[in-house]
Amino acid sequence: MTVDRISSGEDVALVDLVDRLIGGGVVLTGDVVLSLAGVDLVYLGLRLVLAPAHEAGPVLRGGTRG
Amino acid sequence: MMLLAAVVPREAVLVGTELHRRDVGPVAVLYEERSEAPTEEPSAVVEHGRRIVALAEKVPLLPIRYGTTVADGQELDELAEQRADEWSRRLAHLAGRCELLVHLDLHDLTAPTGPAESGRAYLEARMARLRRHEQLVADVRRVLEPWTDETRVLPDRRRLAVLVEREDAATACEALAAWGEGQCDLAVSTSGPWPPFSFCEEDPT
Repeated sequence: MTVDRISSGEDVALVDLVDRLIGGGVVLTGDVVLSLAGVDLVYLGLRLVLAPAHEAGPVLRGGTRG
Repeated sequence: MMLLAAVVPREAVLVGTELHRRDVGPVAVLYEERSEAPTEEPSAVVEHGRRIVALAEKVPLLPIRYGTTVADGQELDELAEQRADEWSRRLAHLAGRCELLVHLDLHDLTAPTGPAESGRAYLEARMARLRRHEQLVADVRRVLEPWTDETRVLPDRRRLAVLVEREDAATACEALAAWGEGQCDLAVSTSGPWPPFSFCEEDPT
């Protein structure tokens, strides 16, 4: 089974992946390089890559209509 | 410096990964050697993520939040030794399981309210939408009950993380999609299977 096989869309899947990478997982008391502002930049950058501006909102809300 | 990637059981056999490992008690911490801090470039984050996703299909793992670095092995040991037993128990619990992310988008949840709407009407409408959303989360949990006993509502409150057996992921998604088709005010979609990003710690509730 692959991610693509059951994902609702590659764009939504990528946003979910990035979101969980920087918002989930084990938190250690190490040096977390990405600041809050850095996280925002990741999101902004991904939105620009994934969709034109007028479509960015729906993409981040979940994309595919069921 | 070391960019930390994931925690795996100490006995895990890793094939086909460029990640290094450092054994700490019953677990091993996987990491990349870096000469400089990891970038926040989306392509770099996604590449790191795909590596973790691919690895999770082969061995149980706890992903470590992207961007977490330590200076050297000694610092890693000091941090990991305090948590190694806890991680080991969690890895045993998560073995063979994966995470699905269910997107629940109520069509009217984001609908603009009229400019002439009173404050009371606005609050009542908002409460009704929140109750509807809570009901939907309960419904999704009921639909997925045959495949999961552990879910988490994510901070954005629009997504529900669901822990399922990896072999049940496709079936659970199909059941959810069939249920979603009968919901007139809801768009439901699913992504995954993912490593258990949202389940690395025991549910505090």
